[in-house]
Amino acid sequence: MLIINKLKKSFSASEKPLLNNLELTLNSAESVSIQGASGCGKSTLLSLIAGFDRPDSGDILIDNLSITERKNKAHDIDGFRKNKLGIVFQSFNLFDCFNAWDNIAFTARLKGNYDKGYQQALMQQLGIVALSKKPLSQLSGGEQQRCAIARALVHRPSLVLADEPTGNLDETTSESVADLLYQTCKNTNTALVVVTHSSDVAKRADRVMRLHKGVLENAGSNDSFVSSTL
Amino acid sequence: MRTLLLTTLALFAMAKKRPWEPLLIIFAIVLANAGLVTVLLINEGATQGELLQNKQNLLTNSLVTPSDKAVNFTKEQYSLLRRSGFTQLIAFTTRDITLTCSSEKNEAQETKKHSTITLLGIDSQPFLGSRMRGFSVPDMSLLQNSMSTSQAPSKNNTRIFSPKPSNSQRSASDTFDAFAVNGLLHPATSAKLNCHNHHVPPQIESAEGKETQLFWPANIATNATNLVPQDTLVIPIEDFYKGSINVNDGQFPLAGVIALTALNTQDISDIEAILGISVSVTTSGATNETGSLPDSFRLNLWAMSALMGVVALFIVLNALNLMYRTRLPNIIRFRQLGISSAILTSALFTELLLYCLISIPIGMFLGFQAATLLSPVISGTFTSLFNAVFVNPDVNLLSLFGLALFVTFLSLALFALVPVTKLSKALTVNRVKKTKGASLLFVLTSTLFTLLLLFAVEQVVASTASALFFVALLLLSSCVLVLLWLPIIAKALTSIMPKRWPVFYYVIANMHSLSGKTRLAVCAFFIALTANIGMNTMTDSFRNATEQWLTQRLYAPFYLYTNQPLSKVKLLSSMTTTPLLKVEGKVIGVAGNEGGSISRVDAPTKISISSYPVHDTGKKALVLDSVLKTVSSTVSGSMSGSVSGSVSGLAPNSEKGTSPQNRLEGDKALNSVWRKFVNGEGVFINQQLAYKHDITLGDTLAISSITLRQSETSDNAALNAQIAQAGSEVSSTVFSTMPKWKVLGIYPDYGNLNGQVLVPLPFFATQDDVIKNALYSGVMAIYPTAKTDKPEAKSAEKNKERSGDISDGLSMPLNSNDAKFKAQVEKVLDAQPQMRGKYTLYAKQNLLDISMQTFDRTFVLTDGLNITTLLVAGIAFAVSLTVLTLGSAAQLSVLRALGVSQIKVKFALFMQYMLLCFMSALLAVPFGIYLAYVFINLVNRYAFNWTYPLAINAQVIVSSVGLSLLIVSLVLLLPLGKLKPKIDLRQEVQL
Repeated sequence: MLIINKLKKSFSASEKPLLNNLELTLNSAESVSIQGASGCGKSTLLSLIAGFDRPDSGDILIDNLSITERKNKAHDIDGFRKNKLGIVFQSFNLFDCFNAWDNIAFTARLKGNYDKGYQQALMQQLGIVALSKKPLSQLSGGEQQRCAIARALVHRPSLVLADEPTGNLDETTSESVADLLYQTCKNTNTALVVVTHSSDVAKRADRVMRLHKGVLENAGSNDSFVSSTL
Repeated sequence: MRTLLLTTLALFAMAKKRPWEPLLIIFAIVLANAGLVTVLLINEGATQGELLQNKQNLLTNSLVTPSDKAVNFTKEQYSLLRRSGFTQLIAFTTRDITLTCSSEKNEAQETKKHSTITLLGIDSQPFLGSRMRGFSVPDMSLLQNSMSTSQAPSKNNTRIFSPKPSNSQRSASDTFDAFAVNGLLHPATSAKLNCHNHHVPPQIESAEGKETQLFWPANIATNATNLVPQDTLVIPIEDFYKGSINVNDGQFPLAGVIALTALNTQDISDIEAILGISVSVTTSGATNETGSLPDSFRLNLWAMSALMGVVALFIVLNALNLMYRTRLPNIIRFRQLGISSAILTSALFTELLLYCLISIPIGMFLGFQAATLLSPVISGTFTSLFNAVFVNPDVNLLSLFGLALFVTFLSLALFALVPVTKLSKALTVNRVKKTKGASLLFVLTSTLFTLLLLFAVEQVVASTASALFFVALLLLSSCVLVLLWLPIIAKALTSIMPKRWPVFYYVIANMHSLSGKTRLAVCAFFIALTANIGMNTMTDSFRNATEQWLTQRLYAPFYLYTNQPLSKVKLLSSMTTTPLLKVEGKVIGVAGNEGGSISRVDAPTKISISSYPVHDTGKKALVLDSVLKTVSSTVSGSMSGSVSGSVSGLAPNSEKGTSPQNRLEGDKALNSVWRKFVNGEGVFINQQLAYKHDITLGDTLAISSITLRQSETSDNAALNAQIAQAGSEVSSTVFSTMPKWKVLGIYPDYGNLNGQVLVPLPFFATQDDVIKNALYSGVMAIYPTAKTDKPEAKSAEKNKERSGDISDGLSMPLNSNDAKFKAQVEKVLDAQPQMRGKYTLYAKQNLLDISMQTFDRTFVLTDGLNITTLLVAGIAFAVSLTVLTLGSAAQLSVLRALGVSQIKVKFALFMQYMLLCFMSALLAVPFGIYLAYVFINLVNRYAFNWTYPLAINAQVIVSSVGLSLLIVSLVLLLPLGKLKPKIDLRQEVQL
């Protein structure tokens, strides 16, 4: 589903590359969590996968489509994001002008595969059906993040990227939201990349990886990783 | 103090971090001050111009001339006088010259504008090196420059008149080359001679029965000064005697000498003794004819300035609100750290004061520039419309800055007091609450209530001040309604917008929330656009009414304008003439139509009593707003219940919506009224008089103090005195039969500020030439002896009238026959020596064109300010939205992250803003039309005492709305073009 080959990225020529020949392969319905110290390049990696930025070298293939090829024009990348990608932001980033339902439906309508029944079912899974008509200002942080997860999945993307999805939530809500995120992706056969500082969130992934010195390493058990990074 | 300083510095650091909002505040203050300073300078220029006009000039002093008119002073005599100690005497000589303005595009064409002015040559040497009688030396020294620069005029001139003599003229005296002369003109004359190419053609002078040609080919560089009388060009005397001016044996005859200081009897005796001849000393107390700038014009300027001020205030407040919204978290941190509310308030006001201090000098500079740029237009308008002078004002910069700072800061502080106090007291961020919009029922009820309130207040408007208050109330209440309706319309649009277009759906839905954040900017834009639509509709209505009224009133194909006495105007029998006769009088009382006693008016009103022809063409041309229905059933009270229309058909005011029966009834009433008018049973009065004293149809006027007018050419005061001395009333002398002063009809009289009464022409005494000449206004209608004057044609005309057919034979265009007729009239007039070159013959269309050009010039300034206000509001609206866009960059980046292309984001934003603008514009249309109605029927009614029909022209409204949308869209293109929302995963969208 997602194949990253020898990915290199640096922000200045004099410094060491932030990502150095990074490699990763991810299958459909598989999830991976990426941890690492602050500034190690976790968010940069997500930005490169999402096509927000271009790598210095290397390749990123999603469903066999390279998003790093120079010949790709801006609107190709926009199309890729619209059709293949779902994003869950740390600060939810929902539109305040819409209610919960319309916020979630936005990506499906954008892609053109809006399916009311599917959205209903998805919201059912996430436990937010009752919030459909509520304006955003009346939703709690956890409810908003669940809406954001639904928005990231409703248009049936191949890959969901989640950047600190529980960063703004309390511990209990975090666990609940993380469970839902992993579970729903699994149910919808969607690959998931989660960048997080939370070991509780990370350990729920199929694979837990650590970004260190520009490459991804298997982190082993969550407890050993946490103790090694502290 | 330290805390205040630290807090203020922290606020500036915030401003540096987010510079757009402070920049918007500065921008709005700059614009408001630029507008304020421009209007202040225009008013100051006008006031100083009026003062200058009242000041003395060269010819207001004693003039010493030989008693024997056949004798001239000589250069030697003048020299002798000065050597004898009469250094206050300045030699002068004079003659008339005609300057011809030729078109640069077609110089060969001889149809040119002639301006006859007096050429006054004076000895300018004595003015050098001393200050005399308040005449500034620099003014006079400018005359001297030509002596040193024999061929080239001085560079600091305001205008150059160049001679372009034809070959034939040149052959008359080709030994003279063009020479350079420096001259002085009065500012008003300078403005009147608004032509870049003037030349001095040969002057035909009659000397001892022999016509000689003068050739005076001068390049005259002029400077404007109030020292010079109007319509006079002052030059050095040595330049006066250049060219082919004949002098007798080098004697250089002088017309006389000007005494710059008062001469006593001893001085005069000494002068006579020195010269050996008898002299006359005339002291003229006359000053320049002082034009006055109507208060209405000042009112207009101030109203437009106030409008711009209000618009700017809304913009500043909008920017302040946006700025404070983003600063709220930081301000709360200050409070939480222990900074008191008072310190915070002081710091916020200090910041505001600094913005004022930065912006006001820039605004003042722009205001000065704008006033300088507008000066030529203003000067031309003042001169042509009000005979007033506009000068570049001399103002105290420091006091102007102080005034601007005081007004700006005070108004800002007052309006910002509530948000600043609220902000400085905040200790916690309240959970963002979804403000529940007003329900449709509430909005509908409020709208109904507001409209009823406006209707009720409109009924009690009874003065100019209350009319202007009503305008303010209308604008403010319409603003409230717009704020109520905008979210409802946006919500309605959201509900009808198909959701399958998510980006557009987002645009509409987001616009709904934007309407709350931009409400003050929307108000500014709405007020400016409403005022624009109102003003344009009012002007357009006025223009239409004036044009139609003039077209109908100008009943003759030609009009003769001359200063010559009426008895000297001789035309052929095939040319029918109708002179316009005028006297002055005062309305001292009005008797009600019930036949009661005369009630005296508060203050007697000076009116002009004009003649009106009683022939068929005059009847057809009469436009009446309302007429008396019958003698027994007079229409009392308001004019609305009376019959409207012109005598021969329908006036432009009432053409539409009249049923055939009403028309017939109207025609009957009109014909009946006309018969009474012709028989002297009553008069017609203009709207101005009717409104001023609440005169209704059937009322009888009490008119006294009927006197002959003072004209430029005749001194009728002497004649008035003679009549009075003879023991007879002037009124019985000027009227052959005294008409009854009963009001039969009220007619529109656009542009006239004074009351007027129309009396049938035959009632004026026209047998006595002296009285006839004194009555003559200088205007005469000329037309070929009409076919309708023949009995058979009259009968056909009557048949037409009975059948209701409207004949408008007078509005025919100038055809070849008319041109032939005009040539005939000119030939007849030119054959008379007393008339040659002393008349102007206008075709009806020429007069109409000139009137409409004057009309358009009147509104140049208003239009300019109006468009500027719209431009300011449009720019500010766009800038406010741009600032808001910068604030919502996170939302845009989310859109981009979700796969919406950059171009789509930009287009979506553009559509969003344009839609908001369009909705405001849609709401501005009905209020703009209502405002136009208020301008016409309330402001105009009480400020000028006349009204006219409101004409709603879709083209005018569409152009106003289109212009506003164009301004906003153009202004938006730049920031939107540069907008590149960055995608940042960690960016936080603020709710």
